[in-house]
Amino acid sequence: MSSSPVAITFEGVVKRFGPVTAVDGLTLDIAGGEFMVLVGPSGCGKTTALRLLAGLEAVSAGRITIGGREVQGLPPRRRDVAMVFQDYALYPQMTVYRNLAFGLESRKVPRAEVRAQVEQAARRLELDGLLDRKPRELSGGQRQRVALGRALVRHPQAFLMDEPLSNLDAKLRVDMRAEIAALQRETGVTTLFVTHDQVEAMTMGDRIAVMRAGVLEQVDTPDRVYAEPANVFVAGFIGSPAMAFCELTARRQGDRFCLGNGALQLEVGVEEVPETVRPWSAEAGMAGPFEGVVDSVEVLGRETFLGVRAGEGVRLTARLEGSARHELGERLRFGVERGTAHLFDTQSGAALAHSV
Amino acid sequence: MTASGVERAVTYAVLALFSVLCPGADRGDRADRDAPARGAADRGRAAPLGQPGTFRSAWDAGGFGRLMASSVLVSASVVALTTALCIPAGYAFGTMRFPGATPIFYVMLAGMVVPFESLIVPLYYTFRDAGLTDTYWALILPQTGLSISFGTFWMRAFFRSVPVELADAARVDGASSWRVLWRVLVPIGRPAILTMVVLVFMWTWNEFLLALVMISDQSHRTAPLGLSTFQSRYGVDVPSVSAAAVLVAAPVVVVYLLTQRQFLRGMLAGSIRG
Repeated sequence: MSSSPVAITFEGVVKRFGPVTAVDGLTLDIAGGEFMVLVGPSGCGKTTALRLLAGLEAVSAGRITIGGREVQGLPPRRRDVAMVFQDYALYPQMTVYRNLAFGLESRKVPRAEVRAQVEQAARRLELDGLLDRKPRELSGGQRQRVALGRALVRHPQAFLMDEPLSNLDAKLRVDMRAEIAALQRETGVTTLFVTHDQVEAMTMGDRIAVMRAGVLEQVDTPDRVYAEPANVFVAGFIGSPAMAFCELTARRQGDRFCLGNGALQLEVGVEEVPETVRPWSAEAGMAGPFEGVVDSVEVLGRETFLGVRAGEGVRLTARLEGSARHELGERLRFGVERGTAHLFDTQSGAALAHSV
Repeated sequence: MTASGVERAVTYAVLALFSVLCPGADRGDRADRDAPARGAADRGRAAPLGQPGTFRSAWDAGGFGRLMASSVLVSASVVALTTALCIPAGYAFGTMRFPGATPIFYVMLAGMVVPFESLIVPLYYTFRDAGLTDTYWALILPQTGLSISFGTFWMRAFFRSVPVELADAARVDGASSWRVLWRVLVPIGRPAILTMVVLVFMWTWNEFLLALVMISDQSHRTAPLGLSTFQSRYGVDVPSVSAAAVLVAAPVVVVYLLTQRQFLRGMLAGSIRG
């Protein structure tokens, strides 16, 4: 077992596949024992970054260290990391026991110790009764547990998880989310968890790293990424439903600026646009200075999301408590709660002000 | 796809018709050939193929005990060598990136497209100069070389069809490339490997031309060459050659029947999303 949690660093890591740059100058420090979530849309390079750390791809440039040791020249088996794959990647011809034991046997661990470790991991993941089964005889959730067990049993220096929950149904996903987070806390093993699901990112990570097109956009705690997104991309990606954007025109009024788009007008001390508004900034009473037309209604039981078209290119999502009764095409008046808007530069997309 | 009742009935009708015609044709041919020697009275009294005695006499006359032993030795050696070489070669071409992989693979493929008949004369002189004609090596080495093209192509296709995560998982689990191959990939590739084994065995077992050119010594002849025993200046002893052909074909049929299920799985591998 690794004695103390190890730190992981990416320093200017680049990965090119021919003319395509999948990871572009990734610099990321993961503290020992930290649960870091790498999140981003499909094709943003997050899985490639994980594979570079595992040694399954060779870096084109830059350094990767695990516990202070440079690893970019080492094969996967010398990096002492364990990986959980999206499709589980269980060995189909082997029983659950053999699947769990394979990593230890590859490392020439004595047979008695292999048995002890496998049984311990199986107990922890409630797989004791399934050790003689083949993967095809298991449910999706059980396969996921075996995949986790295979990582756990080796006591590696780091867990690398590549969208491990994406093949599970919604309920099981919620359960496994808690299970993985608990497992990581228990073992204290440094973890890099890749997902495209921002709910997973927000609920599981000590910190989250948001990637787009091979570039790291922001690294911070989930609440800070949510409250203070570094740019338009992060603001649009994190938060469900997504933050609404509208482009505003700035007019100087003395030392202040008035930002507006149709009925939406906002007075602020900075001069940049656009403004973005979190969906629940619309006032529940539906009384306000602005007006729009309902173009979608999503009733979720405990809350209702209304899509409101409030001007040219302006579409806001309003969250209402309970099951609100509104019709498509209905005209609504609404207000925007103060202190919930964010301002971004229209050119660079960088954040200019939060909680306006 | 399931054949309809009508299709099935037509199939059986055609097969039944040919079953009736074939023995008749056999008797007629034999009768015509032997007619000058045996006289008109003997017409139509040839030993039918279905009699066990025909097989026994064909077996003895052709010396098939020894021929079969030679064929088994040659086929088993070719299959073993091909399997041992093509699995690692297919693994390398299918899963690894290395300089020159594509050109080398195309050179391999050339073995499948160049007609073997065009190589047999230079091959004969090469083996004669090396003193290898009239040895089993003269059969084993060329046929292994021929089979490697197909085997590598076949195994490469299999290794490319295996989800890459399996090998990745094993590598992260601490396995070397060799261990990934033999412990993880080969066990799941059994249908593909068995299919290759059956096909290579069949081609090797049935090989006639190479054996005819390379082997003149009786003790190294293989079973297909034994069929020529029943050919004379005056014609062919059809019942004997037919019985011998059945004997020669029997091992292939047995091997196929024993491995049928895996063989079909191998042939269909990758055709349907599993």
